[in-house]
Amino acid sequence: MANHNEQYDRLDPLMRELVELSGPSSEGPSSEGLPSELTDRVRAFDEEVTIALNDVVVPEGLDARILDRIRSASAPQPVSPVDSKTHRSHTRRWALLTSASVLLVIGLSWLAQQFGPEELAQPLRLADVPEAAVHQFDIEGDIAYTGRPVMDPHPTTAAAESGPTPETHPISRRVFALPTASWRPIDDFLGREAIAYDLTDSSSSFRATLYVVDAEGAEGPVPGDAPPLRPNLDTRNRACGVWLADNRLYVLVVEGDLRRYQGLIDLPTGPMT
Amino acid sequence: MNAEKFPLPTIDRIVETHSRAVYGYAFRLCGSSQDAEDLTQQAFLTAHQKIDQLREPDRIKSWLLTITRNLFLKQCRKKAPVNWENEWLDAMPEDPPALDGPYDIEQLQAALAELPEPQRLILLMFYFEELPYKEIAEQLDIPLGTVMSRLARAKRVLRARLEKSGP
Repeated sequence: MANHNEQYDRLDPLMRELVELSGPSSEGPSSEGLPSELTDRVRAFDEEVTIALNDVVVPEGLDARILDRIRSASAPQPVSPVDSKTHRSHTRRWALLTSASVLLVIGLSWLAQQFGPEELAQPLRLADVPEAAVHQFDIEGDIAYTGRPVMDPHPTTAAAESGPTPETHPISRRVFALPTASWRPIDDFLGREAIAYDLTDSSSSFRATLYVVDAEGAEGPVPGDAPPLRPNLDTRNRACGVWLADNRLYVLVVEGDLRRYQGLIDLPTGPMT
Repeated sequence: MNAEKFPLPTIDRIVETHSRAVYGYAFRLCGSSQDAEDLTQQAFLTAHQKIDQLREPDRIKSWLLTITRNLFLKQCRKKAPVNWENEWLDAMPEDPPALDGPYDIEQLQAALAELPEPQRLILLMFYFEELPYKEIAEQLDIPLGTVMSRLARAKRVLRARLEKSGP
């Protein structure tokens, strides 16, 4: 049975509405200042609904199936017995495969250097971008704000120099950023290298990150060339908008709702990125 | 260790004691018995794998229901984004009906299914998990006032649908 007695008060919009509908009550007020008849009726409704909601027919054998699933997931994977001869053979095969893999990686690296990253870019499914970006944003909580100031766009390491930089992937002028905003390279954003701009800083009450990635070879519905007024994804305190400019995909993820998202985008007329 | 201070029941016992509540919650969340059973199995599997994270063994039911809800939300997120801002304006009845039971249990699931997901979720967190407004707001990371207004509207919609079907 639901126990929400403490919530039958005037703060509850439902109670406010009931009080207004009922007019002056013949009953005295309850301890919370509401007519006790109304409080009782709301409580009775809650109890009825709780009972009804809990009245579910449980399928037969459910417990056994749950336990089977737990046991099968917990059971160690069967391992076939291997004699020493077979083991040696496997070791040789493993060594050969490892060597072949190393050669393959070297070959692919050479190809990447010859033809550049665009030719080898992973297919980018635009329909998946908002969801994937929000996921990326969620797992980045600990590494946000670890980048270099946007005002200093030069990479510091040799590794970063070979990847995207704020010069190759500039921040969009369609978003507002704090003067203390920072940037950091990302190895794998939708399967590609990208730049993340953390638009706020660690003293801010919310996070907002703009991801910039090459749009070469992107598949699916093409977004507009400016941040959408309404985010493409607005769910559980995350709002995400996607746009395409200069063959780069801009993905803005904001911790907050529609209003906060709209507070970070600039929608003037005129030619802008 | 927590488990040393408060010995936990075996997984068999946990399933036996709480499968009904978890399945009921899963069924109300998913709306179909097949999805509900799958969600229930996943919830117990997750609970089994993370049993050492259970801080208060006497609150195991709440813990299981939270796992169930989180798994459900994770699945929903994969399926389709939910717009939490504007989803329920169309669902509001014009005239709030009177508060009179009893309610047709058969109609309940249909009424729940008509609710937009954010409303349904808050309603079920309120009734099933018995969470106070404040905790619902914290868990969903939305303002307290939003929880109150959405719950009030969800109740009103539910009541209207149930009243329409008649006692």
